[in-house]
Amino acid sequence: MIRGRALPPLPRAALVLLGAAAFALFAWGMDRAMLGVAREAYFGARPILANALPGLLAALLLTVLTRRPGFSLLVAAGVQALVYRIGTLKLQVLGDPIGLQDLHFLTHLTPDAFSLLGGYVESPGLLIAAVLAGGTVAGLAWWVERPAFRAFRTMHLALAVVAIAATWSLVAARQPWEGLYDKATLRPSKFRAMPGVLHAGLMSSLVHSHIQNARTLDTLDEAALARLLDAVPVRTTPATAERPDIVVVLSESLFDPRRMRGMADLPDIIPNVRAAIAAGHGGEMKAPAYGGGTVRTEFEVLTGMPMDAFPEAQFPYVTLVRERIPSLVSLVERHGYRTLAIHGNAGSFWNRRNAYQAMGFDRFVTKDEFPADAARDGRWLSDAAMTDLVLAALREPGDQPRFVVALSMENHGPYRKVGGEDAAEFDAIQVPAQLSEAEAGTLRAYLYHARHADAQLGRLMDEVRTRGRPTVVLFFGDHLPALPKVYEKLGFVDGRTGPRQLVPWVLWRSDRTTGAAGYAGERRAWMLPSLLLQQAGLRDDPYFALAADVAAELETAAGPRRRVLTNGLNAAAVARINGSLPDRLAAHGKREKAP
Amino acid sequence: MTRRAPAIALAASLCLAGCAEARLELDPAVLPDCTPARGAVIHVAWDARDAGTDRVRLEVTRPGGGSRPWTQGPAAGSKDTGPWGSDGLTFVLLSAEGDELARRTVETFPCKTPQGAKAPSRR
Repeated sequence: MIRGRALPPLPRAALVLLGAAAFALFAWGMDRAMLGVAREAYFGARPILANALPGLLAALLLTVLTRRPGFSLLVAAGVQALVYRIGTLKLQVLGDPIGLQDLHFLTHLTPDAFSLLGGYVESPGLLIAAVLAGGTVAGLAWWVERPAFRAFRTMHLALAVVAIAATWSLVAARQPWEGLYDKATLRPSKFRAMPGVLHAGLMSSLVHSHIQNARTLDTLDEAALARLLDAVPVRTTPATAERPDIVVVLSESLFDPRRMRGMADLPDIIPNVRAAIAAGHGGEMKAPAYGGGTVRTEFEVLTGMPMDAFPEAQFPYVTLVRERIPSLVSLVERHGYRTLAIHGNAGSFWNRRNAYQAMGFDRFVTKDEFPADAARDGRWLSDAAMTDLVLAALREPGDQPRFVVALSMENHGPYRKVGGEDAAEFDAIQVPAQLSEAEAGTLRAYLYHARHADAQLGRLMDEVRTRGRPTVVLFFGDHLPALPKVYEKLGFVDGRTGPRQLVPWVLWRSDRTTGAAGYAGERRAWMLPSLLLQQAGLRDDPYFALAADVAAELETAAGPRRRVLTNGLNAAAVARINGSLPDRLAAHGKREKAP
Repeated sequence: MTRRAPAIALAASLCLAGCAEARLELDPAVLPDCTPARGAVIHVAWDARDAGTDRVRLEVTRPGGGSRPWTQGPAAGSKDTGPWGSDGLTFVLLSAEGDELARRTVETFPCKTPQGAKAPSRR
């Protein structure tokens, strides 16, 4: 192969511009194909250019480094194609487009991240072949193309200045990006990412989200907060002298399988959860996640702040982490609790380690700190191993009360039999007859692990009952599992769609036989911590007291009153996380308002 | 001539090679984005007689969602949807063998257009 002679500057510049235009059209075509809409849907110069600009900026940066614009455009196109391929897969599995939070993986690629995400790749060989082929083409392009300009001369320095300035202004969410990706162009929804993607493309939507994220904590709806504080009392009460131990268990992907048609006559998978709820120790709630997104439910339960308050922050531990995050953890620590979090996965996942540090956990036990002989069941560390650690933490000597948060891993997808399961138990799981073999296998894998989650709740309650100390246990499912084909085949008993289904929660105190009043009905995940604190006798935090009052009023409120409550609590959550809530409560004379 | 006409013309010219054989039209193809939540009735007309097929199938899909069968019939025809036409709803015209012949998507324009700006025309 013969390396080409360098073209004169003008034809070369024209060729680069033509390449940039081809890149923009290519990215738009990939975008429309990912969504499954017509190629001409929302076709226009501005959407196409805006959607291509992040990729073109990446190509410009690479050009500054390599002085090869053709090679750079080719690499940018390859990366862009990969992003859209991943976006297509995510839409198929989770029904949601790629969000800014997903880019977190690119900066935190660990063997655990590869292990988890690799489970969703159906043809790893094909993927490796594609990556190798792409690398070969890029290598050839590098070799064939001569540098377009001399190093460290005028052109090189000018491009470097432009590239650095554009990158800085993008990262800092400044102009011209803010004007280019405005709301009028994207017409984004507060509740879903899809409208913005449809109107202006995935890349435009990501840049818009980034700009909004940068503004999230500055956009406090003062009027909504004032209306709420005028309408609702903030009833704090002094904490009781008795400080029970507290255990919070987030059960991965747990929901009541009998919500699906055809499951009612099959053996119960979650008898312990069902019995506790029937006895008044729990109910069902709307989780702010579906098919994935554990951290959203986790954030609501640990902080009492609704995710609706941060519409641009799809995954809070990526977007909302500041030096301190007010939460249940910081509250119980003020009351002398020793705090511990347990999770059988890497601490870096979803930026948990940093988020937990900001919440104030004393200790965070992750996969690497589990005992070497901790049992796995299927792909992940078992719920039994996690419960062992919870019980061991409660047994540790010392007078300090304990606050233990455990996030289960065993029932995390993908749902396939991988070996390491109890084969007899697995094969004995019954599923509805109308499912295909593949669908039955998927559902059986899910039910097998869900059954273990429920059994470990039973074990935890039994063990805690025999302790000398009162203990409050909060146990809840974080979202429905990603079983789209099973849902499509079976449907749900109530006729609603998957995202509108509820997940169970149990709140039980070992020295009380009856549940607290007002547990009936649908709850939201952010309401659970207030109920937990009520059971633990810790109702002296103004924010959680406010959230409890809002939750109580929402049971009967309708129309404008309901909007005052929800919008007001969203504003209070923003004020809470940006640190201005105490001053605003004081200004309303509600810092310590007694009932 | 609307502001989007050049873009549409470019799209049409890009589409010439692949789209000339079958016609799929939506009326309206562009809705105001303040359409009531249930959506609008869309009149869908198709003509695939030049595509060498006697019968066609039409599927509908939402952005990022899977396709669902909607109707089937002769190579040329038309049908109204129910009141569920909304932003991003996509119609896919398929030959009897399942080959895609055309694809059209319902778009919206903002009800509150900036002063002086015109809403896009129907296509």
